[in-house]
Amino acid sequence: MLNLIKMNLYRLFKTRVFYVMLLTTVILTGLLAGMETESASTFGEFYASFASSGYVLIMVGVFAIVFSEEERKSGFLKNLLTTRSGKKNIFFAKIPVVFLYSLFMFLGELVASWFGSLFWAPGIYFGRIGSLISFITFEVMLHTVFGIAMMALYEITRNTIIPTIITIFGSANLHGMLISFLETKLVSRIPALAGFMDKYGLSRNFIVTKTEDLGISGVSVSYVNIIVVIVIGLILYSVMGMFIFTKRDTI
Amino acid sequence: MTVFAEKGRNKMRSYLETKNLTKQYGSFEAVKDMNIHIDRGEIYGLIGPNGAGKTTLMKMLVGFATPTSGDIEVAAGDNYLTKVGCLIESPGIYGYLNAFDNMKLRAISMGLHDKKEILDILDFVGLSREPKKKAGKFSLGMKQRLGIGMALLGSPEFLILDEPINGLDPQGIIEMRELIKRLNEEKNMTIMISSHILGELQKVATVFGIISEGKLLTEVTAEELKNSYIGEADSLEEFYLDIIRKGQKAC
Repeated sequence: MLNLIKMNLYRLFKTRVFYVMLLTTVILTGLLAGMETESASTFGEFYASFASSGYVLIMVGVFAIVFSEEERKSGFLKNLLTTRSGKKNIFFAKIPVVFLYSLFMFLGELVASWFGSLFWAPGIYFGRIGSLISFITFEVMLHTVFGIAMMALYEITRNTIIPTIITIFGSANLHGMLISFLETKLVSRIPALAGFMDKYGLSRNFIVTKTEDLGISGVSVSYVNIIVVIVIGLILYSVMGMFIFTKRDTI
Repeated sequence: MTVFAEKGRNKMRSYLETKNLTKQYGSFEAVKDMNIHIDRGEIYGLIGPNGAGKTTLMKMLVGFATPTSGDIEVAAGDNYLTKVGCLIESPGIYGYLNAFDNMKLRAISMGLHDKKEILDILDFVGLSREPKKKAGKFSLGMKQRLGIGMALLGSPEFLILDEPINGLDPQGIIEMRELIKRLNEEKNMTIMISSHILGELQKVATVFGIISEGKLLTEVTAEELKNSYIGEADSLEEFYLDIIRKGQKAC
């Protein structure tokens, strides 16, 4: 397992797409920073609203799909001879790479936002470093889970088009809006469910909803709730991906 | 139908045997009750028309495809897959990486850290003079040699090559033939090789297995073929056609 993780990390740093996507993110963030600085009172708020906009979600989702697809399409997967039970490691070993990619994306955005803010909002108050660190930590975890979900989806479909479309729509939280609409309809029919839906409604507990919530300044978020969403997502999508990968023929 | 099976073969030297190996895709049986037998140090030539089940059989032998029923018995024991190298359908290489990096990736996945082993293999397969060239820009022959080079990492006992000379120019075919012979003679490797170019296969293989419609029709050693059957230069071709015709009549 550790060898497979090392192998994937080696590939990550040898992949030109990784650097291109990172550089694109940094440049775009730096250039577009001015759009957000007007509404934020601190750098932390400005960065949070920018970083949770859904752009990184798309980048992470697409990266996870492409990273898996490359391995299969190039045929490299055929070099990883393993028993049926060992096959789950091949899927699992990509998770640290998705995590690292998400982290690099957030750090890249952070650096670019900082330089952008120097230009667009010179002298802006930085804000609390602790809040910024916890924001990045939770966002990176949520984005990693989203990436794993897309990787699992890729293993189900074994093509890139459907998961990419779902990544784009998912990052805009269209599924959350749809479920929220259905929940509202349900509550209007059964008003007694209002309290329950307010707390445990599915639309409030999606990964994408949580990434959005974290970026909205002034909204208090329950970190316990976010941890629960991360843990459930991590287990659910990892197990799903490993199960499908193990069950189906490698090629 | 297995005319020569077991004849002239030493049970003590047996490396791999399949017992009623079957692979079914839906209602289609790609491989039916296949019982092949490979001795240690042999070069086993697998022959059959397109769609006969050669690749499916090879995929099952290396764990890419799960048999629907039947067994694979290997003298090498439980960790047999760590002693196998394969090149199935096409070499599994990343086009954007050079030969060394492709080799390095597989080496990391196997827990091998000896850079010298990679360089030695690259030298053995004749790719040491192209250290920086991206694998995507390699000729077909070079890609095939790199694929074999990757299969050789970890000094496997058993090498499975699926149509390795397909699409190669005459020079490439000669080089591949020499490489296979050297692997067998110098490294005492057991090799299974499939090809449609029977004349070429006859120059390297020591045993032939003929399959059609997912069934093994016969196994014959090169010596038996030479002495007992026809004894002509193109004996394999005539023998093959004869066996296929008999097989079709029997069906």
